[in-house]
Amino acid sequence: MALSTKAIKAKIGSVKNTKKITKAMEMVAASKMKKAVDNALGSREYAERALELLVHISKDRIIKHPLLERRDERKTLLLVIASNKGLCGGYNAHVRKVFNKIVDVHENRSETNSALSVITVGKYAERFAKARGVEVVASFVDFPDNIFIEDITALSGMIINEFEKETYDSVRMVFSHFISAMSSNVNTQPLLPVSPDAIESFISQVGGAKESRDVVLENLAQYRFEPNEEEVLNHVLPRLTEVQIYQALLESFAVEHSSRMIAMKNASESADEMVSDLTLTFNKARQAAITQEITEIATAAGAIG
Amino acid sequence: MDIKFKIITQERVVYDDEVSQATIPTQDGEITVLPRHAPIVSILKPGVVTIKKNGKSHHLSVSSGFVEVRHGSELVILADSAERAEDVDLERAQQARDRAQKMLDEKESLSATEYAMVVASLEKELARIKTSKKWKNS
Repeated sequence: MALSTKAIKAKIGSVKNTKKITKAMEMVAASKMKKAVDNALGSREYAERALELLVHISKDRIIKHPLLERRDERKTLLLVIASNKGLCGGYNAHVRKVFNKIVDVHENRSETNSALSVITVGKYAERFAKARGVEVVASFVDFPDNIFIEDITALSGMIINEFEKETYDSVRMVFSHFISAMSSNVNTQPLLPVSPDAIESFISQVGGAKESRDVVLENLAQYRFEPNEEEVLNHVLPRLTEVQIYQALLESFAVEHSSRMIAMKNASESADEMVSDLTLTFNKARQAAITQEITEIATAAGAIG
Repeated sequence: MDIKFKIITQERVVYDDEVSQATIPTQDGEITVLPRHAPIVSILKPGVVTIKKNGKSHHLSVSSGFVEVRHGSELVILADSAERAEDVDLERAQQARDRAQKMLDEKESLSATEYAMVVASLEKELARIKTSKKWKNS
């Protein structure tokens, strides 16, 4: 019996150590989540203002720009955002499910010779895109945790360029939308061609759908554009696309960290439960050992006496 | 009456305050916005934004973006990056400028996009240096 109490004791020690790690991971994930949510909200105002500008310009006026051009959806590019690391509950599985659905729908109508390509963010996204046999054009796996807009120029520049070159006729994003620390869902958001309505609904949901400003439509007759509308538009549209990709990334990061936080919280709680179970077993074993020893002594004393 | 003035980047709101006037570098030249300025949208050029508040001047460095003046004396700058003069690290800005200049000197090896990016970063660093110097002299 002495051996089994020792083994149980060692086990309790190892569970306690694991709990320390999961607890630490929980804290780290919580602080990273907060940062990502703050950043997403911080960049929302820019997106709102830029959208207002776009709506202002496109009202009462037929505007032409490569990024606004609607073409037949033959070649679709999908930007799929998942994580690099595991241990984050169902985060990657949820993205994968939505991604698979899109691929299914696409394959069902593939007789129209349409093509689907993906750009992935995160090792998990790359893995499940390859598993489905979809063409992966690019895979981004080295975004820092604290991401700045400069970090995504390679990604956004590539998307905008390829769309302008008509390599793709439409671009969509699959990303996780942050509602609160406890809940999130996976969204599919059209990115290009630029559509003011889609952007408006996107912006209003950013950062857990807190209060948002209405897009104000002012009397535009009095607005003057310098040097002219086209020039301003040339600047606005790529920026607006960029900021949407940026926000989708930030939101996905927020969801990743919140999923990890909750997964780690559950792990810590399970560890607590295990420790109390093991402690009980340990005490029982200890007591049994003592009882046995006493019985042995008593029997021995009886035999001598 | 003051102007409601905001500088917003894709990452955050850098400046949000009421000022009495603002001088902004645009592609068509510098403009100074006073209260009740007519609504206008213009393209920002990397440079120094000078604002006046309670008779005192403040400087901010901005890179490219847009300027929007709205009804009701509201002025919004949507910049790719913006920084207050106090926050500019002069030494680092100068190093960054030297680096960009060096890359530019070896421009034969750069593609058109790379070239544009280097020029943009050079302009941005120059603006930061100018802002920081202005602040130190004032």
